[in-house]
Amino acid sequence: MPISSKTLDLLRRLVAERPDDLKVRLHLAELLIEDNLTGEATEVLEQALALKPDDPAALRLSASLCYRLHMFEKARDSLEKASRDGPADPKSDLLLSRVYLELGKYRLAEQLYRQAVKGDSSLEDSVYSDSIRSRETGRVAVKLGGRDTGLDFESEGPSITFSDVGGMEEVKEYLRMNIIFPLKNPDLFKQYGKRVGGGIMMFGPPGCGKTYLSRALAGECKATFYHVGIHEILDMYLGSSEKNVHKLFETARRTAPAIVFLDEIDALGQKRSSGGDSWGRALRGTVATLLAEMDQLGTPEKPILVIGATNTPWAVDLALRRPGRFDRVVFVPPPDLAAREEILKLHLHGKPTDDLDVPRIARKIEKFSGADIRALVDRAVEDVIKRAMRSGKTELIRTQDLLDAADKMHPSTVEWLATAYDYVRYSNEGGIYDQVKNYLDKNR
Amino acid sequence: MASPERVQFDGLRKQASILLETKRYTEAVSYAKRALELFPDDPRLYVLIAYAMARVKNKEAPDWARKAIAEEPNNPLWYGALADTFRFLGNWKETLEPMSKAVAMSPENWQFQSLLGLCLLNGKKFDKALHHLKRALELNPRDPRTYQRLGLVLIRTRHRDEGEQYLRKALELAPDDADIQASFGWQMLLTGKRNEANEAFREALRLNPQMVLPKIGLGDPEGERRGLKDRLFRVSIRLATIPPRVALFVFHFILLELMVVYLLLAYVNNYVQLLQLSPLVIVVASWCFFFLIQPFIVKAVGNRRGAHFI
Repeated sequence: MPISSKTLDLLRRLVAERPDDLKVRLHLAELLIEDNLTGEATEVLEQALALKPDDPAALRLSASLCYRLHMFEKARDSLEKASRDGPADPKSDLLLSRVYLELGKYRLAEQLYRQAVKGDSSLEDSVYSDSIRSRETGRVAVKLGGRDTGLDFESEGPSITFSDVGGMEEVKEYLRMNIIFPLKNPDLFKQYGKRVGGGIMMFGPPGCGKTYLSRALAGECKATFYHVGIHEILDMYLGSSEKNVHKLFETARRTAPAIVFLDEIDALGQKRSSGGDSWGRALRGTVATLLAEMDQLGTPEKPILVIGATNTPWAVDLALRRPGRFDRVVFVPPPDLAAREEILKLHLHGKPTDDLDVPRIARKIEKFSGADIRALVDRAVEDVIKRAMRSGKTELIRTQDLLDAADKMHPSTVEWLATAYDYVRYSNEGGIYDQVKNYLDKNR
Repeated sequence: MASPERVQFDGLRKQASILLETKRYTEAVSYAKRALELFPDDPRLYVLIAYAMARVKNKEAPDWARKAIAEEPNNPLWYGALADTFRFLGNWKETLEPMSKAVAMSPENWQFQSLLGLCLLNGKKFDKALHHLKRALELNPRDPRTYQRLGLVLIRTRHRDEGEQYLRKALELAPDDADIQASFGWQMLLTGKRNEANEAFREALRLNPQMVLPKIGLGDPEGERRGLKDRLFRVSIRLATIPPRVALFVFHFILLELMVVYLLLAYVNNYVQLLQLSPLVIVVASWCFFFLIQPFIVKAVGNRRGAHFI
C-alpha cells in the first residue's frame, strides 16, 4: 500500500526537528523503502548509521535496502555486523540466507534458512527452500557413516578458462608451464619418473582472484574443481575432520582429473610456534590425514592437483611446504592493468553507463584488489543513484564518478604488501617470497 | 549419553578455540557466542571471547573476562586472563590488581609469578618484580621468559652484567624466541656490542619480520627506505645508544648550560668580543641540544611505530 505523502512529509519534518532521534529516522527510512523511494531511503539510513554506526535495527534496515538494490555484499556485511552486535533475529537470518543464496553460498543459505525457521516457524517457505536446493546443482554431498553431516563439498565441471581471466599473464604463464603442461603430458613426465599433480600453495593479498584463477586452471585442465573452505574441513564434530578429508580425496580420485582447492590453508597448517597445544591436539590428526592423502594423489593418467590458498603464507607450517606437499608456490599479485580493466567491465556490466574511459580508471586504481574494484563500483553507483533521485531521471555512470570514488578509497592490498615486504626483507628463506620481491621491485 | 545440545556446545567450543589459535579472532568470538547461547554459564567461553577481543584491541575484552570471574570467582585462571586482556590492550597499570589476585590464590603457579613479575617490571616496581620472578624461577627453572624478564629487571636496577647473563641463559633455552632475541639485541646495543646486537636483531626479524623493536635497533625504516628521515633516525639510534652515554649526557648538558649563560651574558651586556664568538657558540649549543634530545627522539619514534620500551 503506498504511503501517503502527508505521512512522509510529517516524518521528514520530525526528522528535521529532532535530528538525533534514531527511531524516527528509521521509521521514515522504512516507509521510504516500502514506497520504493530507495534513493532518499539510502540517504536517511546513511544519516542514521552516522548517528549510531552499530545500531542493529539500522544495520538490518540498511541490509534489506541493499538487498533490494542488489548490493549483496554490502547487505551481507551489514547483517553480519548486526548479528554480531545485536540479539538473534530469525527475520535477519532469513534475509542473510537470501543474500548468501545470491552470492552463491548455498550451504550457508540453507543453514541460515533452517536457523530462521527454527527461531520462527512462521517463516517457513517451501518455495524458497526448494529454490535453494535447485540452485545447488552440481553439488556433491558426502555422507559419513550413513548420516548426512550437512557437510558437502561443492564441485563443478570445467566452466571458465584462462581466457576469462584478464591480464595476470605472468601468473598464467607460470601455471601453464608448471601445472597444465605436466597434467596434459603425463607420459613425458612418467618417462622421467616425475610425479604429475601434487600440491601448490597460492598466496597473495585477499580479494585478488586466487579462487577465480584456480577455477580457470581447472577449466584449462578440464578437471573437476572442488572448493573446500576451512569450516567444511573443521567439522563441528571434530573427530570426523579426518574422515572428511579422506572422503574429499576419495571423491576427487573418483572424478579425476580433479583440482582440490583448499581455502585458508594457513588455518589447517598453522605454524606450530604461533599456535598452542590445543591446536596441536585438535588438528594434528586432520593435518596428518591431509598429508597422507597428498602422498597418494592419483595416477599420471588421472591426476589430482591440490591447491592450498592463503593470504598469510608466513603462517603456514614449514612441514606443509616440504617436497611432495605444497612445494610449489605461486604468488597471485593485485590485478595488473589489463586485469583491472576486465574486472571494471565485469562489475559495470548491465549498469547504465556513459562512454567510459576504462583504461584511465584502471590506471588510477593501481594496487586495487578485485574486491576493492567491486566496492569502487558500488560506491560510484550509490552516488549516481543519489544524483538520479535529485534529478528525477536515470543518470548514467560517468568516468568522473568512478574517478571520484577512487579518490575516496585506498587499496586494501597496501597493508598486505607492507607485511609481505617485511617477510621479503628479513625472512625470505629458500626464496619463497622471490615472486613478491620481483613484484615489489617492479611496482615501487 | 550427552544431550545433542551438549554435543553441539562442545563442538562449537572446540571450533572457537581452534579459530582463536589460528588467529581468526572475529570468527572465534562468533562461534563462542553461539556456544554461549546454548550454555551461558561456561566461564571458559567468556575468557575465550576476552582473549580474542583483546587480540584485536577491542576495549570490551576485560568485561568478558570479568563475566568469567562472576561465573567462577574462585578460579585464579580467570584473574590471570583479566590481567592478560589488559596486557594485550597495553594497559599495564590495570594488570597489577588481577594478576596479584591470581598469585595470591595460587602462589605455587610459576606462570602467574612470572607474569606478575612482568607486570611489575612494566610498572617500574623493580624490587617487587625481582621477588616474584625469582620465585617463578624457583618453581620452574627452565622457563626462558622468566630468565628474560629477570634479566631486564636486573639491567634496569643497574646490575648489567648479571642481567646480561640471565638474557644469555634465556636465549640458550629458547633461541627461536624473537622476543628474547630482541631484548638481548637491545642489551648488546646499549653495551656497545653493535655486531652482536645486529646479529640478534636480524635473527629476531627472521623469526618475526613484523617486530618493531629489532627494526628500531637496526635503525631500519618502517616500510621501504624513504631517505633522509631514516638516515637521521639511524644517527639518533647511534647517539642514543652510545655506551658512555650517561657521562656524555651530563657533559653535553653542562656544556649547553654554559653556552646558554654565555650567550645571555653577551647579549644582555652587549660584549662585542663575546658576540663575535657567538656563531661558534650557537653551533656548539645546537649540537649539545641535538645530542641531548636523541633518546627522546628514539623513544618517540619507537612509540609511534608501536614499540614498547620498558
